This record gives sequence, structure tokens and C-alpha cells, in this order.
Amino acid sequence: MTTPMDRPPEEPAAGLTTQIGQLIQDRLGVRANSVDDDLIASGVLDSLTLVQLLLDIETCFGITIPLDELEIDDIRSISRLSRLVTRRKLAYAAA
Amino acid sequence: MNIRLQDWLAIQADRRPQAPALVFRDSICSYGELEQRSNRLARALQSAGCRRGDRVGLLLPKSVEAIVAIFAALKADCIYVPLDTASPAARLERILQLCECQCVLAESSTAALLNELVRSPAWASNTRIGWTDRGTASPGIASAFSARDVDAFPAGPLDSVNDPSAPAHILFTSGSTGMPKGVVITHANVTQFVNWALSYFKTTPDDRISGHPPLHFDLSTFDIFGTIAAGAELHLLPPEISILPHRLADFMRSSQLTQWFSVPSVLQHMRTFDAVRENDFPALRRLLWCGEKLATPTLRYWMQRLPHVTFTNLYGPTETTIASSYYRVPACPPADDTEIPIGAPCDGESLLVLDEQLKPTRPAQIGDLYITGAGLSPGYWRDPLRTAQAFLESPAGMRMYRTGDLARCGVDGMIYLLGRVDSQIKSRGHRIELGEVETAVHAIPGVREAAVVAIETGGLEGKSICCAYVPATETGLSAVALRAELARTLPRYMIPAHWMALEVMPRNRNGKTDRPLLAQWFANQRSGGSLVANSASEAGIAAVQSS
Repeated sequence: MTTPMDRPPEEPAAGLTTQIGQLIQDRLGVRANSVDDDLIASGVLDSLTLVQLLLDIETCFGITIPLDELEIDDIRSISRLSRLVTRRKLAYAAA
Repeated sequence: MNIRLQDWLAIQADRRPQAPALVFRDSICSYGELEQRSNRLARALQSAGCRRGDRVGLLLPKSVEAIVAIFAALKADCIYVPLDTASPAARLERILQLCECQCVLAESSTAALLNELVRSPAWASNTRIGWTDRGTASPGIASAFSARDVDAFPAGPLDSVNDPSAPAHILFTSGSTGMPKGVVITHANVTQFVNWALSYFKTTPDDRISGHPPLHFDLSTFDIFGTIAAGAELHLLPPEISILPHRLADFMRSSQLTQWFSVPSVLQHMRTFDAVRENDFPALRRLLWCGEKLATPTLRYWMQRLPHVTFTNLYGPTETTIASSYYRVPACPPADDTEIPIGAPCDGESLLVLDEQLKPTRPAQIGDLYITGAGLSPGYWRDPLRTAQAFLESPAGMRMYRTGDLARCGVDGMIYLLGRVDSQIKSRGHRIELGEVETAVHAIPGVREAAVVAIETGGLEGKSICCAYVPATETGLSAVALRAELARTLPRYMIPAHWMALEVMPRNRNGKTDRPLLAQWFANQRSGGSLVANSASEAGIAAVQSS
């Protein structure tokens, strides 16, 4: 049961969404139908898989994700996760 | 005291009609409103043919409307059956087939699921459909009433005729053969525990109580009926908040909760992310947990940060209603390996540790744990065989429930849990029969053989489910495809996290599947993984390897 999300205003790079989709498939064993699938409503992300996925994303993209700043909407879909990664990369470049 | 669950609501609504009863997202429902809305819905149920003892299925996520529906079903002298709206239709079909509901209540968010259920061959044609919001069924599917119809019914009290020994709800738990078991719980089962708890915890109308678990969990019945009986406020947690520990902590702060009742995996999750500050949640008075063992290091973390809070471990399977024993942790445990008991029986309950001949064990001797007392369910819904297997006669001639837990009685008189006698596990608060998972995997075409085992996740989240399988053909069946197929019949929390495709299943000397060896393989696979905690290790997160 998946709910399509509203398309975010800025379109994340296709390469990034593919990479994150692949991470989810390889590490969590789930193939998302679209980059806008609601990963929380569909149960792909729960307390256990979230920890796993954040670690994977940090390792894969060489970034850190400050957990206390994380909002539900940051992690709701592959496209939103891509935006989060882009934001963190920029924060890194600026630092 | 000859009280039924809905009587508590009537008493509070009479006493303090304006006082808030339920808080959920932006909505607040007062006692007066809850009473009147449930009276209207009870009449709508009656108009849809619901009679005393009929089942009412609740295809509703956690919401104010779902709580209204619970009280409405009880006022109509019916038995409510909370359905897990995150479960696949195939599993709900089996539950609905067993219950033969006179009416199923749905809302717009569950309309698609309802349509799927109605179209299945298992759907009973005489089951009526009612709506709690503006939702509607697909064209061609008839509804008994809409939310607007409900509003037209009178709001005055109903004459309920049930007595407290009548069933109030049926809660479905995992069954080892693949068929979920319906635990029947009576009004008196719940009032017994709630009365003890309110007097032990000294709950008052000033309390603000968390409603964390989903409504098909039996812990939720304590949150709901305990709050209403005390005339307190129930703060229902939006389910998506649970995933982010810092947002969960924000919720606890902003709601100024005085009682937090949850499962150990949530407490563990919040510790993993270090979401609790020193002296956090100043309004909080008590923290309770139930459902599985809480790791002592996690308990110490919480107790060190919240010295103003009392910590109580509750224990009890669904079959004995919410909890049967309690242990208030007197002080922060001195070491990470300090053993926390499940404690002593609540009023009206007894815990017995018996040997194979059903004779009491000596102190410190391991035996099977049985429970007797007022919390005992009358049995499984329309399943005399499994009821007879689980509910036995005690040496003193009383009914007793065989928990399947191994325990010992300590020299301190407290009961300590040691593990299971069967393949039932607890994972993130869910009770799961590995047999049910295995049966579901076997049912998938393309699987020749499968075995499901559980391994420890190193204290992170309890146990993790692992599936080894032999594909029927050499071209094979990928774990991704298998997992997707399994998601059609099992809820997410039952789906294995780790997979292994094998050419042949390992056997022991008796020719049986070598499950301990499989568990070892999965454990090796995890620890040999390439994933290392680096940046996230700053937050103290341990790595978990998935295949």
C-alpha cells in the first residue's frame, strides 16, 4: 500500500535517486515502485531499517546526518532522501 | 463492582463533560463528546443489524474516530475486533472469515483495503459496512451508513444489557500453523487489571497518558480504558512519529505526558539516538513497559537521565489481559548485567512456575510459567482445540494459562524470565510465531523448501527474523522477489530481515532441518558484514548487517 507524494519543488538528480533506490533494495531487500513512494506509510522504513539506511547513506555519500535535526518529511521517500543528501553535501562543501 | 467498560465513560461524561478525554494531532475530544458520539454510532450499528454478541470489525487506524467506534460497539453490546490496517488484505481476510462480523467500520484512508476485502471470496455477503468519516465504498458495494447518517441518530444513553462477563473484544495474535488466533477478552478481564493499576499507580484526572501502541495491541486497551476510568487525558501518538526518536521526545515534552507506556524496542531506539536529555520530560511521573525484555543497559540510561520518574516492568501475554505481574525498579541497576525480574503478581492473579508433572519447582529451579486468575481469557475465538491446549487445570483445580515462557522463582520471591519453550519470538514488541512465517514462505510458488529462524541483534531491537530457502528451480527466486511476494500475505513486522538462498537445506542426524546451524550462519553473515559505523557512530549507533 503506497501513497504517491506531492512532487517536491526542486527535482533531485536522477543519479542520486537511483543510487538511493539501489541502497534500499540491496540493504533492506525492498524495491520501491517510484521515487515518490511513501516509505513510512508502506512500512519500508521502521525504527530498525531507518538506523540501517541512515548508516548506509552516510557511508555511501561520505556525509553525516545530524539526527536531532531530522524531520519525518526528510525521509519519507527516495526523492526526499535525495534532497536531504544534496543538502548535507552542500553543508559539507560550505564547512 | 459490576461495571462494564463503557460505564466508565458514562460516569466521567456525567461528572466532567467538558474535560478533554482524547487528544490526537490537532483534535481534542471531550468526555461529553465521546459519550454522545459513541451513543450515536452505537445506534447506527444497531440499525445495521448489530445485536448482542455480534462482532464489529474496526478497519480504522488510530484516531479519535477509532476510540469512538470502540465505545460504540460496546454500547451496542457487541464485541469489537481491531484490525491492523497495515496488514495485507490476505491476512485480514482470514481474521474476518473467523469472526463473521455483522458490521465493519472503515474510513477514507482504509477504503482501498476495504474494497479489496469485499471483493475477496472470504467476505461474508451479509456483513454490513459503516463509515466513520466522509469515506465511501467503490461503486457497486453497498454501505449501511455514512458518517452523516450517524450524526442523525439521537445522542442520549443506550440501554446496554451485557454483563461484565461478556466478551468486549477479540485480539488476534500470530498462530504457529499460519492461522492467527483470536484471543477473547471480557469486560471483567479488563476492569480487573485497570482497577488494580489505577490504585497501584495512583492515577488521577490530572494525568496525561500516552497512547503509543496500535489498537490491535493489547497494551492499547490499558491506555484507553485506564485513561477513561480515571477521567484523565489520552494523548494518541501519530504512528509516523515513532520512527524518529527526537520527534518522539518532542511529543513527550510538548504533550507534558505524566505516564508513558511503551515497548522496550522504543526505549532502545530512543537510547540508540540519544534522544533523552538529562532531567528531560519534567511532567513525567511514571514509565511502564511490557511486551518483551528491556535490556538493562537501556534501563540504566533512562533511569540515569530521568531520576524523577518511577520505572515499572509489566509482564503478561494477551491471553491473561494486559499484564499479570509487575516490578517497580527500586533504583538504577548497579551494573549492565543486573537481571530485572518480571516481579510479583498483580491483584487477582497468580504466577506459577511448574515442572513437567505440573508440580511447583523449588526456588531457583527452572520451570514452565503458568498464570491463573481474573485476567484469564475465556479462550480462543471458535477454537476449542487450541483453547484446550493452552488453558489447563491447575493442581488446585483452577483454570490456568500455559504461557510458553520458561521462568524461575528467585530467592527474593520474584519471578525471572528465561526464554521460550517454542519458536515464538518478540520482535519490536510484536509477538510472532516463526511457524506462521515459515508456512507463508512455503506457500509461495518457486520455493522448494524454507526454514525461518531468529537471531539476536546484539540488544539493538530484540530478535531479527531470518529465512533460508531452496528455490524450486536453478534459475532461482531472488530474495527481493520472495520478500515482495511475502508482503502480500504477512504484515511487515513478520517479514524476515535476512535472507539466504541455498542449494540444499542443512540437516541434523535425525534428518531434520538444522536450525541451530542456520542461525549460526546468519549470525556469521551479520558479523562478517562490510558495514561499519563511522560517522553515525558519533550517535552511538551500532551497525546492523542485512543480506
